Amino acid sequence: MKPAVPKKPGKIETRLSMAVLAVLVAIGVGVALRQFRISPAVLALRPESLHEEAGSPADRAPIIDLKESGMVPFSPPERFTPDTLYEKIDGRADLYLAAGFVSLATQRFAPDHAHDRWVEVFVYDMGTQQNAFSVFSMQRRETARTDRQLPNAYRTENALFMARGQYYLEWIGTDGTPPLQEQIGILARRFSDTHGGADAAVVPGGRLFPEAGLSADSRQLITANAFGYEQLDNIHTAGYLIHGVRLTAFVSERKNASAAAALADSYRQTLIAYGADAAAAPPAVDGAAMLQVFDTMEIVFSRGNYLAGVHEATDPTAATILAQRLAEHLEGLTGPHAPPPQEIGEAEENKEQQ
Amino acid sequence: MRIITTRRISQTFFFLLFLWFCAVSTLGEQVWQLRGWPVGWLLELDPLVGLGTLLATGTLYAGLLWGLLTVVLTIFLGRVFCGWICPFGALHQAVGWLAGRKRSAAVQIAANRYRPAQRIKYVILIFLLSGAAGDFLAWLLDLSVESSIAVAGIAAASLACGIAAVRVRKAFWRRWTTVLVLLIIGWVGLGFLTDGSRLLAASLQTGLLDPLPLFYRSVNLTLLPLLDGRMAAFSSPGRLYPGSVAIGLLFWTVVLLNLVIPRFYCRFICPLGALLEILGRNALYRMGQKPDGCTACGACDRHCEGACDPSTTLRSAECVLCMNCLDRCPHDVMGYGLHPSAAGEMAGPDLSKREFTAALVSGVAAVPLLRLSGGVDANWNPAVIRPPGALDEANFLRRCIKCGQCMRVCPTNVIHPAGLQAGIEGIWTPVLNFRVGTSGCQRGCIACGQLCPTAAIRPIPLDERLGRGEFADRGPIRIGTAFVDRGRCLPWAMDRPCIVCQENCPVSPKAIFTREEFRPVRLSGDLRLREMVEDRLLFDGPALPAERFATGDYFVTLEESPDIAPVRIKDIGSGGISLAENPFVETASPGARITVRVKLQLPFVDPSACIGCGICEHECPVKGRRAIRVSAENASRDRQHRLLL
Ligand code: SF4
Repeated sequence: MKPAVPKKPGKIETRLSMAVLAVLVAIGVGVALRQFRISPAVLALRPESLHEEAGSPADRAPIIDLKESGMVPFSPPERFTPDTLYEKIDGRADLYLAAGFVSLATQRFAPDHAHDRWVEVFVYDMGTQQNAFSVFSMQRRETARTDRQLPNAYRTENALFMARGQYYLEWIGTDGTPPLQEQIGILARRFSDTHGGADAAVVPGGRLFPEAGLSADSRQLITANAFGYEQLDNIHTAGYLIHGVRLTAFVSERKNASAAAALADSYRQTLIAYGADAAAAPPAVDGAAMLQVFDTMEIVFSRGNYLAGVHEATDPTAATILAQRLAEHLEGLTGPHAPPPQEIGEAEENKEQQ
Repeated sequence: MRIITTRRISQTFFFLLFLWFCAVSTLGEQVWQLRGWPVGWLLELDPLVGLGTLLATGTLYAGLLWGLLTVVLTIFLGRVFCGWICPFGALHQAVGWLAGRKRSAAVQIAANRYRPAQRIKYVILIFLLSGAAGDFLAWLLDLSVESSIAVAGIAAASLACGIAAVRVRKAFWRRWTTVLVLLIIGWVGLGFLTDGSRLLAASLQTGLLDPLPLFYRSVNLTLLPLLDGRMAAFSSPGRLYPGSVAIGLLFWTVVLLNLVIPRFYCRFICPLGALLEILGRNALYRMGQKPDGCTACGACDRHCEGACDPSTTLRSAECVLCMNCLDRCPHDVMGYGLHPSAAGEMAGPDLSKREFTAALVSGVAAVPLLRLSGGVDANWNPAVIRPPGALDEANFLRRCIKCGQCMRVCPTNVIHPAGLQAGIEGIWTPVLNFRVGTSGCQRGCIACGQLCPTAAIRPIPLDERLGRGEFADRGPIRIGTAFVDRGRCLPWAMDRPCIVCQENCPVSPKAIFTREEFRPVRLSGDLRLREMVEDRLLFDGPALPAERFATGDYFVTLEESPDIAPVRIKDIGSGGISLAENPFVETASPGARITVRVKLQLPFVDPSACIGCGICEHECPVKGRRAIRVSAENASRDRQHRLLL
């Protein structure tokens, strides 16, 4: 709005204006300063507030070696057992308990002197490398990207997840800013180095699947009740892309060839009992059954000690191709030129070590 | 610099500050989150909030002392709060200006003329404040009969007044002394007749129309939730507030009324404006005409935000100090100073005695009338669960201004504005709704009490919430107790295993515990044992779907072996059941009846451990009306409704 007659502001008016503006600036500064006095509501969120044993985080040894990481403990370490796990992770406890959970250690770390950003690390001791890989693979996030510097690890916007030996770790940062994420990487590598290094990063059952068409980072290990069938335990799965069709292959190493064959048979029988029908054209794979379950195909067969197959395929041709490749690959593992078992059966090996 | 530019900067500053405060009321430590931002400061500056709670409770919560600053400024400078600080006023001014830009001068002048209906805001103010003053009046009544000093004083004053009434000649004074005597008689008489407990009660309803709570509530509960997006979320995750339609409708109505008359809300409705008018009616500094030079050109009336008739008899109480007249007057006649306006001024408010009395009496009477329903006593609604730290219901209603701060800051979005479940008095006050939100009320969260500007929800320390340290004797704060609805609970009513509530109960030891029971499963026919092969029982009878019975929750008993405990089913295949072990080998014979049993863990609530956090209700898989629900019984805030001795 312009004044009807342009007027030059008088001295008093200008001085008053300046005084008011000065007050506004003072209010602005006051408000800005106030935000440094963190509200008790916010302080209550800090983990040290919730747990009674709070004290100086420095009092107790941190759960991660922090040397040269630029991070300091931001909360005391906390430990949870199978009985108390739910206190920390509420509804997800079952998943870990079913996969052989032993204990959880958590702690927050912050870059030196920062109070508004930190990383919380969850170290799940799952008892075996196989169990750790199982929870790692079963919880892989949609938005995951593989971490190039760490084998058997992936990142999301603000977090890093990895499996190392018998441990499954989650590093969750308050934000996705590069410096914080870099520091998470440093801590994760240090943990990795002090917990078995490259050997502990091996994916159990790494060579069970043929390479052709294998989708990167699609490997999973289902320790129990795979595909809703209780007898299917320790099932390795992998994603494939064949002729543009997404497929899931599965392999499980059993005690011996007859156990593998019996399990293949019982799985097939169970599917039939649920209402599956034998497909009109069985796949050109020796001893394999192809079953139509609603609108998907299930291929099941055994090769030597291995139970294998293709799960819930939508395209019979692509599924058959995958089954053939899988059968050939497993024959290579069990035949006269098979590599020594320690290279192929980490899963079984781990089981024995328990 | 022109003062009007300064005013605009000031309005913009406070408007942005207000938006910033709303945005950062998100729990967290980032700069754009709560941290230590004084997000309720503008509410604290609002003297109506302070006055309302003072009348209703006889106490003033420390932060509300900021309101005194506004009072002092108003007494000296006039309604500077309305024209320079109030963010809601700034919004009205901006919308009104936008709507009126293209209108002719005559239309603008007509829109800005004073209307007698502007007195309505006083009626609203008196009604709301007298509704809050019930307890204060009850105290006064009690005083008239309970304090001997007061009784002696009353007797002496009545006597003095009586003598004066007889002796004073002037009719004016005689009338007043008579009125005073009658008032004293009425006061003492009422004091004897009633203890005040039923006739008078206080409830704070100023927040319904007080502009700052209204604006905070509208932005917090209806605007910010709409803006939450993937890129910029003000709270995680998106918010839901059942009942926000009414809040939004009120907000948009008062904003859009500016299209009809600029600053409609400020001129006709705003109870805070009315209060500031009363405080600033004789302000030391005020707008006014200088003695000479007015040509009655109407330039000042055209842009007057207060509709206070600056060109004629200026209604100084209505002036919001927009300074437009000062800026727009081509003859430099308008000024701001110590002198009265040359063309005359009217201090206002010009409310008739009858209007005043009607508003006062109806305000005082409204609350006890509402309380007759017994909503805060015997007929209280157990579905009204208040946040942790909330005062007992009657005191809560004396303080809550329905600003929505507690709802906005709640990290799980379980605090919602009440509809009518807390009675008409409790409309838009905070209640917990565990079906909505991301979880129940988090044990470690004390945010709502920290943000509540009036301490309707006390600012409790975390130790008190958790019942530890110096509060260990009292135990944790309970907001209610969970009750299992056995008619809807899956294991209780439908023979389906489920222990979600027990698993999610966050207290230790758990407040929800289970008792095991093996119930026979309903099948479409009898199962008879045909043969036993190691752990496998082959049977005749209907086919059993493995996906249901082989999950580990199902067991088998044999009629012929009643003493053998149920044995877990490991697997079901065609015509056979595999058991985890087979203790029936020696006792069972072909033809024996097999009973499939489901192991149920029936949930129970331990009321001494339950804090009413509602996580069980939130997680219960029965999605409509949950099978376990929290009700307000046993809440710490109300000893009347406790369950345990
Ligand atoms: S209880 Fe909630 S709505 Fe009521 S005054 Fe306090 S913060 Fe505002």
